[in-house]
Amino acid sequence: MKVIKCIIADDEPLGSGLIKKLILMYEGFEVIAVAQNGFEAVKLVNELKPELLFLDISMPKLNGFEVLELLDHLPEVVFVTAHDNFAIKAFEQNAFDYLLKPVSDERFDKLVQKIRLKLSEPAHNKNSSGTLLNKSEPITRIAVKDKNNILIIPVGDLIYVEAADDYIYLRTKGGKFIKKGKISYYSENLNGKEFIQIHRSYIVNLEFITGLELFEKDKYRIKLSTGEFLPVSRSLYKELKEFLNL
Amino acid sequence: MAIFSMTLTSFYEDYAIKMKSEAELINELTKAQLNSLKLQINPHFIFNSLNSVSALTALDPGRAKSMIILLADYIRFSLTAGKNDFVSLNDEIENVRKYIEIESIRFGSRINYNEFFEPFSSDFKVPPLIIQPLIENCIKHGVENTSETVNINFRIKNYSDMILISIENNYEDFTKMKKKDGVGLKNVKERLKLHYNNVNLVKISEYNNLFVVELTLPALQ
Repeated sequence: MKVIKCIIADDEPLGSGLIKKLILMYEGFEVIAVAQNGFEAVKLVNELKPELLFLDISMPKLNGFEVLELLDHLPEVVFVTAHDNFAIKAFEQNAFDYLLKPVSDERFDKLVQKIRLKLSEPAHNKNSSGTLLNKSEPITRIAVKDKNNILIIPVGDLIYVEAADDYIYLRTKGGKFIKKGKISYYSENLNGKEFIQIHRSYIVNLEFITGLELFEKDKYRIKLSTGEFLPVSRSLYKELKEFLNL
Repeated sequence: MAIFSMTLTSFYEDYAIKMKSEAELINELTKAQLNSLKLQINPHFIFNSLNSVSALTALDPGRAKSMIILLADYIRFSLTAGKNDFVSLNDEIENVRKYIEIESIRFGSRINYNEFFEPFSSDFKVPPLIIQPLIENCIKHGVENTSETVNINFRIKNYSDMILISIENNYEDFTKMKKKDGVGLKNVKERLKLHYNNVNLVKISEYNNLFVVELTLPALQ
């Protein structure tokens, strides 16, 4: 049987210690690394490419959901948490499973059977990007990779989001960052009171809009406090006008 | 005339009763407010501790047993001391130490707890569970948000007619301490106000990534 490589990410030594002990009681599993915070988890998973990730949700620096967004290599993810209010969000993120602490031996056994079945399937189809719909609360910060660093952008600092195929650009006062993802995710998850989609490729933070002007026949654009202009699509112009109380 | 005098007497009696009951009411109201503010044990703390115990039974049964005893002591103090208006400062400190020990089982070397105490009278009394919430804040906002070691310093300065208690912790830059509007701290403020009838007993300061809460606790007459 092929050995299933696991990484455990938990900031509490007892938490990771228990999962490690439990999983190693089963044949065919190997724990290749333990991450003590979100940054370490991202680094280790991208480098070591495990098949299975036990991911604690409440961790310092980056929480489990943010870790998921930054992974280039996406293993099967089992969320582990003491807080059941994360359950819905975990499933919206396509988690393979969700363990509520404290974990009973029976519950863990079920998980192991399920994971063996899943990973023995020849090709498992899954979403290549971790960012999936989350209809709970609007997001308040976005994690991006900037060379080797991870930056956390509070959404208040976000000026606009620009779509570029499978990527999006995030424009902030500090610069422009690229990230995997779809603009639809942001139109659904940014606060609708602070952000508005003005074009199929642009979502803009209302804070930074300083003007709306006609620049060609029937074509409008907005001016931003940064001096930049963004196009407004005809269909969204009316909505924008209403939004700005014009 | 007799009738009138009787009515007057009963009027004064009614009035006296009314006055008394108003004072009593205020007293009872204060008590009720204090009771509602008396710190309940945080449910997150219970769950986290149970998780630790559960993990320890598999990883280190001996420590699981000491953890259960610590927890029992801690819960007992919280339940019984909570019934008194005041406890000795020594008992309160003992309870803080238990709390730190429990959390240290969870966080290991991420907590570095230090005491700097000036000598104080063993009779000195404080409201029960008034210091523990401040330590809990250090854990919640300091330790839980960083993987680095957090120093928690507990200082006592003795000014004979009052004692100054200061609890400080360092925190990581980008996590920001948001304790000012936290429930724990608000609750401590409210309780001190009701106990001592003084609104200026809590001072919060923040500098160089250090979060400091100071309590001024008057000696009881």
